[in-house]
Amino acid sequence: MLKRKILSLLAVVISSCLIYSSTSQAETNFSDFVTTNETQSEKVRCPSRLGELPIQAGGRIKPLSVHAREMLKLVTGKSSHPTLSPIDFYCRSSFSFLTSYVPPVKVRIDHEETFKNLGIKNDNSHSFPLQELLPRTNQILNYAQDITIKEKKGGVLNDAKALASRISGAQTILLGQDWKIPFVVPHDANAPQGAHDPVHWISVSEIPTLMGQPHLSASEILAIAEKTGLIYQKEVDDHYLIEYWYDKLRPFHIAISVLLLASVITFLKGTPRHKGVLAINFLLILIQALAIATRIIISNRGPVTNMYETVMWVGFGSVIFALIISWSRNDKIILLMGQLMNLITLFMMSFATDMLDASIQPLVPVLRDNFWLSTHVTSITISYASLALSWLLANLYLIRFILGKAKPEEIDHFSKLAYDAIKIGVVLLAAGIILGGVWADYSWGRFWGWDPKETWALIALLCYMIILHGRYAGWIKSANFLSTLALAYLSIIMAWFGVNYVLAAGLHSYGFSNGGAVFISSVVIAQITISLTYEIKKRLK
Amino acid sequence: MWKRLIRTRVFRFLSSLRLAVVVLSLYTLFMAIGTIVESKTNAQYAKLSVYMTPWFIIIQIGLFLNILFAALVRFPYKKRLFGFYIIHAGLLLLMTGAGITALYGIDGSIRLLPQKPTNFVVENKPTLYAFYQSSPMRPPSEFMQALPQSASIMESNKVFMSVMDYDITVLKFIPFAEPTSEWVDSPPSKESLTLKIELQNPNFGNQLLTLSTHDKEKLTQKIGGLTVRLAPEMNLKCLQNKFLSADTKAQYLFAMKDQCLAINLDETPLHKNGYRIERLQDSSLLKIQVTTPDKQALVFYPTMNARPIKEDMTLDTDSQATLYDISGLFDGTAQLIFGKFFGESLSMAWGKGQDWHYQDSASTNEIYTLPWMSLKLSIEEILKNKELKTDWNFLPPHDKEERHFAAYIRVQNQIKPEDTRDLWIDDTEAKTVFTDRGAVIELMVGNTITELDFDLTLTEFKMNTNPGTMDPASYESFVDISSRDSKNPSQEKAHIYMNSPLKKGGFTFYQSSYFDTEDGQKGSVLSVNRDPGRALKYIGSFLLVMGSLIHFYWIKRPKKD
Repeated sequence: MLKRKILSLLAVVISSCLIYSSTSQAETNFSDFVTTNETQSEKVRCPSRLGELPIQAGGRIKPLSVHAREMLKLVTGKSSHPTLSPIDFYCRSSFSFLTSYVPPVKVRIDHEETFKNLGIKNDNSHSFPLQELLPRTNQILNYAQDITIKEKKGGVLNDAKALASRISGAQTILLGQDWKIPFVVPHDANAPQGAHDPVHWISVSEIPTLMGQPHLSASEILAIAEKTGLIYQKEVDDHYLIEYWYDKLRPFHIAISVLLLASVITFLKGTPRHKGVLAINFLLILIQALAIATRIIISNRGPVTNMYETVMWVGFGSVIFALIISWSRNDKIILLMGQLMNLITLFMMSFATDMLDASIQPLVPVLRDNFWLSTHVTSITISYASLALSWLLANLYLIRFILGKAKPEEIDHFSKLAYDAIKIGVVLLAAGIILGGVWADYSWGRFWGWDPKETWALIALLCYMIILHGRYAGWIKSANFLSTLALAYLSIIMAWFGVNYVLAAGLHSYGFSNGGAVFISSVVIAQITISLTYEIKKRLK
Repeated sequence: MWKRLIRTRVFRFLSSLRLAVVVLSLYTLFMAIGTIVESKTNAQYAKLSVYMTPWFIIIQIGLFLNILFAALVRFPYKKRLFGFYIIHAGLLLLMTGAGITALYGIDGSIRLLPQKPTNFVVENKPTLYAFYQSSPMRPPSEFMQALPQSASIMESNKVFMSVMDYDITVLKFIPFAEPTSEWVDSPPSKESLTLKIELQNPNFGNQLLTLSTHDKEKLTQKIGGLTVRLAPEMNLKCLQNKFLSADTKAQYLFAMKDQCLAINLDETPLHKNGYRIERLQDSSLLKIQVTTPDKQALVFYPTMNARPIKEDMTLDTDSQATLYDISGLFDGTAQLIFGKFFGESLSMAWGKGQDWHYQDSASTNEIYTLPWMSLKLSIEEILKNKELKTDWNFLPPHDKEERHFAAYIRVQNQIKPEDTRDLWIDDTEAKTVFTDRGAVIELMVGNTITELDFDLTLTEFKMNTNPGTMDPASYESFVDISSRDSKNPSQEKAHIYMNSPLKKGGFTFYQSSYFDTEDGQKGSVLSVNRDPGRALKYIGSFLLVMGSLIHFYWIKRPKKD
């Protein structure tokens, strides 16, 4: 018995180390191994400390390390590259206007049709060397324009648009126009406050002309960039460094390791009131709370405005509610379900990067400075967390039944726990929908407008209401309660992801992506398979 | 008594959990369909075809009754049901508030052009408008009546509205309409000319323009820095005469046979080459009389028509004389004018300031090079005495497209029923019907307008962008509010921006979006709201949440098996 415990602990430690190291690989500096094709004698050296420099991009000031990775993802479709670190990619490409360097990266193209329409060869890898695409820039941009007129939506259009933005993004970097360097204007004591912007952001390609030294070399410009960056950091603002450290520490990856450890400890210890269980779960919550708080500080707003943040929030909420319920019932199963939900969300955040965009972007005007928005979305998403507990519990029972391992007393046991979770979820969901109405009323002057996102949230609430009323009426008894709960969560999946990725309509139009529809269909298919198998098996008995 | 009442069959049915589950399931199903319809069409179509249909309203009434009776049946008061009562009371208030909003609320928008006072709140609901004008000197009287809201075609043969002694019947109303048009021969009594031309330029590519005498707005069109005009009665040869273009103050051009006279109204009465030109003061319309050397008096109303008017107030179509408004022709901008029609070809002139070129046989087979921006001109089609016949078809929107309102109506004289006309009207422009007494009825179907009793004037519009990008970060409107009540005029200022609306006269104004005006300024769009059900909805919501908390967490129920 002891041997089993030690073995599983070891397995967790090793696997979490592997996960952490594999995802932080991109941070290593590979510049020494890279074979270059700079035509000039000079080879630009881009040390990783450049990552701490400030950069203005996408309407925000952020650390270069973050921007470099976002740009690598924009151009290639992946946030890491086997031989080139993001900083190397970004920094050396930015001096291409002097060195003619073209990074040895491949650009992602999803659709066969795109290859065909552009007349380029596809070696079945769904990517194409940037070097060979660059001469075709105009062709690609025209093609994207043509297809926008021809087709209104669909995969081919999205792919063409994505390719156009990849290639024009690459062009901007290579022309030295993307990397903007801060020049701090000495403060004029006589000038009225706010009379002028104290910082001018100048792109690297403009620096030689602006400084009157047209023959500046890349390394000299780099030295200027480092110097001005440090001045900016000292004299204007070092707020962006928080993001640098947030990015470097990857708190959600740490959370995965802690979570795996917490699950093992919870599983092995008989009771959730055990001190060790409480301690490790509190640590898990603390890490995520700090990560979320840091994100709020960086973005200066609630963590509620894109799909990535709602997933983050649901994972955090599910482990908290699970801890509360398991503490009050002295039952570890629901805590394990909470941890499972947390694990699912953390994996989605780390690996489903196509569907969930982790980058922090400025808000659209109507979402700004809004108390109601924050309370409305946090309330709704955290209700998804609580209802997810009932969903996983229900499925646990269904699967155990299918496998023939379910004991009769489990029905009552699980139903009680699921009911606890639903009570929290339903109140929060109703409150969240109402707060959404208050927000819409406050921002647009109407409480309810049949927007798909709000309508689906109401549908989800009513699905649970139907189940609760059916239970009160005595129609949904014992195991049927659990089997309906397993299906009811599909309405939440629809409200949460489906409206954005499948219906893609309405005011709540954040986060469109290609991966989303696939994800939703797999969840739906998996759920229906489990439910059907369960029903068949039950009838057979 | 109460106990007997709640045992009746009706009461038991209305309060049953069975009804609750059925109604909730139907409600959920309809909503799911509504969101799918919305994703394939647009919000307005989904609203009309699902959320506002009688079926959906009946389900909601059923839900309301079920909630009400489920609460009633559980009286007299029981302590353990305290939360339940509160939840159901909250729901009833919430639904009542929503009903009041749906019936009496206003949810529209107002478009503010810079510096232009406006008091029109526009709602996306159809209304039939008619303007009756007995003579040009009198102000028109206005008639309007709301059309029913629907997602599909509505047909009727009942009189919908009466305008003086005319009855208007809406034979067919199409709420989501798209036009199809074709050119047909116009009746011989109506002389008309329509031109389709194409302008080519390496910068803006090909541009097709249609100029037509059918449509006053299409007589003059601007494209880039070039003004294109159609003036089929204008003698373009006059433009070649240097004397005309030298006289930059000239406002009107009088032409008769080979005689061209430039007229500046400030200098009238005027004697030129034996002609006497004077401005007559006896009417509100501009009236100019030209006396020819042979003492023939020609009277013009140049704002109405270029041809002279006979004594019986009809157009003198036989006359060779014309009087054209030429202000703006010599202001130094590029001009392209199509003039008199000879056989199969047109006269045509282009110029800028004092430099003009004249061409008297422009045909459809040639390409003309204009002296600006290497512009190439070709005349695609000359349609003489043809008119555009537009039919409207029902076409539900695809992919968020906006559609038009259109109606096929019958205008019938109450006294002389044989005086009947059937015509299409739409929301793009008013259609004119001439009555037998010389009066004019202008008809159109458009959005419903609510007039405010104060004017809003946009004095400044600000758009801030995210640093280093062109993405808008916030919009702000600075607005002057002035009362329309002349007895107690008042003036105040307001600053409207995101999440900081203006409340005035029972309405709330929210910054919604903006648009570019023709002269490159920014106009502001505010959404305008009046919601008499608001208080009930808020109280209901509050009770609902409080009630659920009490129901789930406060009341200890005996343990259920």
